[in-house]
Amino acid sequence: MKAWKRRVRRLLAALRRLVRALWRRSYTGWRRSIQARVVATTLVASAIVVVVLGMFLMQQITTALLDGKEKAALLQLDEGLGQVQQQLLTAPIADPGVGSPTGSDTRARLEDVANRLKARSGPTGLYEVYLRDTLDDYSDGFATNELRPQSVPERLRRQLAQDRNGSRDRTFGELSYIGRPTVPGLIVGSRVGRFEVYYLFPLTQEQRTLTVVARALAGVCVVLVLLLAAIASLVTRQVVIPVRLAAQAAERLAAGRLEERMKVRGEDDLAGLAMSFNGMAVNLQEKIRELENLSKVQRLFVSDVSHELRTPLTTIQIAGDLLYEHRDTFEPAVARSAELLQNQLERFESLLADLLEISRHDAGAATLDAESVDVRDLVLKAVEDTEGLAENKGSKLILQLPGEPCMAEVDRRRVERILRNLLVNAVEHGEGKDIIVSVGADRDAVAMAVRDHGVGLRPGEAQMVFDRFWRADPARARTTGGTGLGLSISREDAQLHGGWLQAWGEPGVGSQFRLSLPRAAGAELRGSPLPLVPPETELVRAPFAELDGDRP
Amino acid sequence: MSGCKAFAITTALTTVLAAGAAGCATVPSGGQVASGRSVGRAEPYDDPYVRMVPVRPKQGWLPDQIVTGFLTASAGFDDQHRTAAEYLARGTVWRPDPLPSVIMYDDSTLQLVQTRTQGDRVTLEVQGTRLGSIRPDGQYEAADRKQLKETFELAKNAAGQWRIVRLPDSLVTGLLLSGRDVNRAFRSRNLYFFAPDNRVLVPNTIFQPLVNRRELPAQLVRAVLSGPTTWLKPAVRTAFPSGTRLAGEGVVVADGVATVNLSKEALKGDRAGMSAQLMWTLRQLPEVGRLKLEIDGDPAPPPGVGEVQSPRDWAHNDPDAAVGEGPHQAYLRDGSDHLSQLLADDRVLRPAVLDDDRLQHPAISLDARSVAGLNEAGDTVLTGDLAGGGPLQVALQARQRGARFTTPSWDRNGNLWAVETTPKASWLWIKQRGRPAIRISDWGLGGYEVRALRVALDGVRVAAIVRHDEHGRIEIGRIAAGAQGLTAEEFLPISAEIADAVDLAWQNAGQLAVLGRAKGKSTQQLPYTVPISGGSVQPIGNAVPADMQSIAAAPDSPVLIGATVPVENRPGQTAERVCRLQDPRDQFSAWQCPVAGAAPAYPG
Repeated sequence: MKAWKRRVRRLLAALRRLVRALWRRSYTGWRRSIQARVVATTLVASAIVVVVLGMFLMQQITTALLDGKEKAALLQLDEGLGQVQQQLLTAPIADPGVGSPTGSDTRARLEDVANRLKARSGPTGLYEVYLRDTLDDYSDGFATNELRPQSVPERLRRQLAQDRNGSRDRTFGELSYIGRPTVPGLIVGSRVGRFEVYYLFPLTQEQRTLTVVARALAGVCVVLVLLLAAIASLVTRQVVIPVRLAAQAAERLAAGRLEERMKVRGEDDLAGLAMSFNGMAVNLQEKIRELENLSKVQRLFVSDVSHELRTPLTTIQIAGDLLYEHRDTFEPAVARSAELLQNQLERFESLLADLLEISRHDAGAATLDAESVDVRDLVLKAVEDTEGLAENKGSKLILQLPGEPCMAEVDRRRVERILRNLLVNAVEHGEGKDIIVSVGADRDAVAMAVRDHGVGLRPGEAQMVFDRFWRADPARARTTGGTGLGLSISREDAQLHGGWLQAWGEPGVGSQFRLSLPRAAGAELRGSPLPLVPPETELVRAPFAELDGDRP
Repeated sequence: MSGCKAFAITTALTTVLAAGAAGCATVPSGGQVASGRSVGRAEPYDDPYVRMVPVRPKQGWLPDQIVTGFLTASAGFDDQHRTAAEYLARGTVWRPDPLPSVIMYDDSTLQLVQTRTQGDRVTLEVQGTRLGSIRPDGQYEAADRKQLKETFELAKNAAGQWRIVRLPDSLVTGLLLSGRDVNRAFRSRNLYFFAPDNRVLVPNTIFQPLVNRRELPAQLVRAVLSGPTTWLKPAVRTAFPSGTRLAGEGVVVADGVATVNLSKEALKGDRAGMSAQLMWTLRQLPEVGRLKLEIDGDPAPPPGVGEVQSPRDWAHNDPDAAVGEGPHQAYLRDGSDHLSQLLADDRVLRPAVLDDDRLQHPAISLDARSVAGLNEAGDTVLTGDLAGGGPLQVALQARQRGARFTTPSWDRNGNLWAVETTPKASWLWIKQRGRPAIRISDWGLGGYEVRALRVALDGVRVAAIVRHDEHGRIEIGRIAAGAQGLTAEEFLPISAEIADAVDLAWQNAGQLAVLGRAKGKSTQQLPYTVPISGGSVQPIGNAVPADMQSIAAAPDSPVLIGATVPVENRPGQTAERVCRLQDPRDQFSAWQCPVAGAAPAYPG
């Protein structure tokens, strides 16, 4: 019992799921497809129209059929009344009871009339007759065949009793029979003197006809509605397909394929749509090309300016060096100026070098000079270079290197530059705390991460650190004199390798920069051997600042 | 936009469709002539009939009104006489259904006489003339207008209304109906049973109340199962083992096939015989074309016949089949008193195989090998061998002085039947083939003068004209084996419409051709067909010759009459002629008398 209940419940649940899925699917279909909407609307609207029309038609046919039947019935009744009049009223009538006690003369004659009338009905039983003598105490008249006199409804008898002599009444009712099911019928009746004459017409044939007609009509209606739906579907297809094509074209355009155009067919509204779409695409393409050109010109200009500045800078530097070398001979104030000049010149030079480097990247002139090296060597080299600076800052550089060599095809110079850059940044923002440099490797990639425990990065800054001339705190003085282009160049370098340079940081916890490079130059990078977020912070589950590195 | 368009299309299509429908909806006013067969046979079973609608007793009716109302209401068979039963006090036993015994009275003679008032009880006597009765088994018996006297006792019930507390004994399982009521509510039907030789079926006419047309097949089958009426019982056999009932759904008629499901008892019976009886009984109904016999729900086809039987399978059991099908050879006494054959083109052919073939009232045996006839005095029956020739031999000789023989009759076993009769008494002679003739004095009509006696083709029934009060009355008797061998007995009058009959012949198993006078209609002797079932008689032909003496009839053969007609152009002179209908198939065509001769006869 329980198992059975469970099974039923499971079945019900499945059914509910199915219904819900169907509903969802149809709902999405309804929302997404104009065609579905139009077809459904047409179906409903045409079904309503067709049903109303069909009912009207059915009613008309029924009325016509029954009208004919009623007319025929009244004629038949007239004939019966004639018989009654002729046989019963014109001949002298003995009082009931006179003659013999059980059978009055009138009753016998009424029976004769009934016999005569039933003979006219024929073997097909077109109608039944019920004759009644209202003054006969002992008999309720004569009925033909299996007809029960209860078939004559009380309302008709009452009406007949109220009516004038000879008026004809009719009504619809149920004809009941002995040993046969009842059938709907038309009942007409009239009163002649003391006699009531009823003709009862079974409407079985009419009902059969109406059923056939109704069935045919229903079939036609269904076909008509389906036909209309099919037509609507066909018509909307003609409209919807070009619209769908336009949508696809717009999508492709949005994806950057500016040369995408729509086919213009004919001269209708849809052709107009295609033409204006194409016009829009052309305009868009032109504007974008213009912008591209403009930015190229700008980049060229920057590169040219940098180059042009180099020559005078060299001259100024030589002069500056000269002044610096002889600063001891100057007055202290002048000597201090010469020192400042020398400093700023160095800064200017590195800035210019960075600008040149980045404009080389922008121009696509940067080339990869790849060779197979052990990444650990590069890391050691970079750490060696920055160790002095770190000592000055009070930071300790901690190395976490794998035991085996981590060979990768990289441009030694660029990777060293990146690492140096990262280490310098870490020292600068590390606030004297430890800096951890780790190296990881797997089958396809190598990764280097530099972790500091300094101020960290605020939310959103992990992206911005790679922007050109971006500063974490514009008010902060630059002690090491970074150009503001270092991380940008580093990122460009990483991308040149097909690798990633990503940052993570959290205020007060510190930050980590991770460089991931493919082992083979130009191979696609799928993942990094080192985590971007240091595992110890993961364990703390502090609120994440930024996780999304920039994946090219 | 497209929704709008679709709507427009809907409207347009509907308009077109409506216009098309309007164009199609016309009645054809021309075209080919289509011919078809008649949809159904016009059977008496499907004739419309009239029912009397009974009324309940009204408030405050007096005892005589209650009895009158009861008698009237008992003619209404609806719902097992529920309305009529309301005239009875509670506890009064009355079981008129399903098979009532009916006493028929003459409506115009009925009187109610209050005989006694004893305390709160009133006794009423119904007096009148009895017309006849119907036994519960359906057998109709005409009564000799006997006096009817039935007493009813009435008392007031708790509501102060008079009710019948005691019915006359004859009405406890029966009804008292007027002739008109019986005509209205009863119909005669034929049941079929086997003649003693188990070959030929004999119709057994019974009267059954018209209750419900749908129940009729089952009603008929039940009647067949319950056996022949007491009248015919000793003369026939039924193939159904005793105790056989309808099982399951009984009789189901669908698509012209009647499926009859019999109870287990039928397993012992002869399936072929049972099927033949059922088929012949049910084929009277237009809706039954074929028969399927089941016993206890399992199909039980008779050997040699498929599961669904048709009437053709049992054609050899036809009651009329004894002499074969088609028109039969007619014989007559020609102008020179010789036995002759009547040919189809009215010519007369004398076989002349006998040495002397001058016979009055010749009768030919069914195998057409023997002839029997009377001598001129009518007191001797002579027989002759039509195949072998030779002289006529005296077969029967009247023993009573002044007695004469009726026209002899042959049955299908080759037995010769004749009645020696005087105005006061009669003796039945039976000459079985190869045995001496026997003379039976205490047979069914021993005390009456018999004008004619004919054995039916089934060899079971015999029709006779018996003189009652100077009138010839038609009676039907049965042939049964008595203590002394065969005898004819239990004669019943069959028709009250023929007042005075002269001669008769079997037209087929259900009809007699009678020369007689219809009661109240004519003073002249006319030929009539008289149904055995007691239905109304029909005159045969018109322009009837004046003086007719004899009639001959056979299945599928024209009726012949022997008459004495005036000779043309010779006033005052008459000649003996044999007459026939101008068109034998048309019962209302004129009589013609082209053949000189007398006493026409068909074999039998």
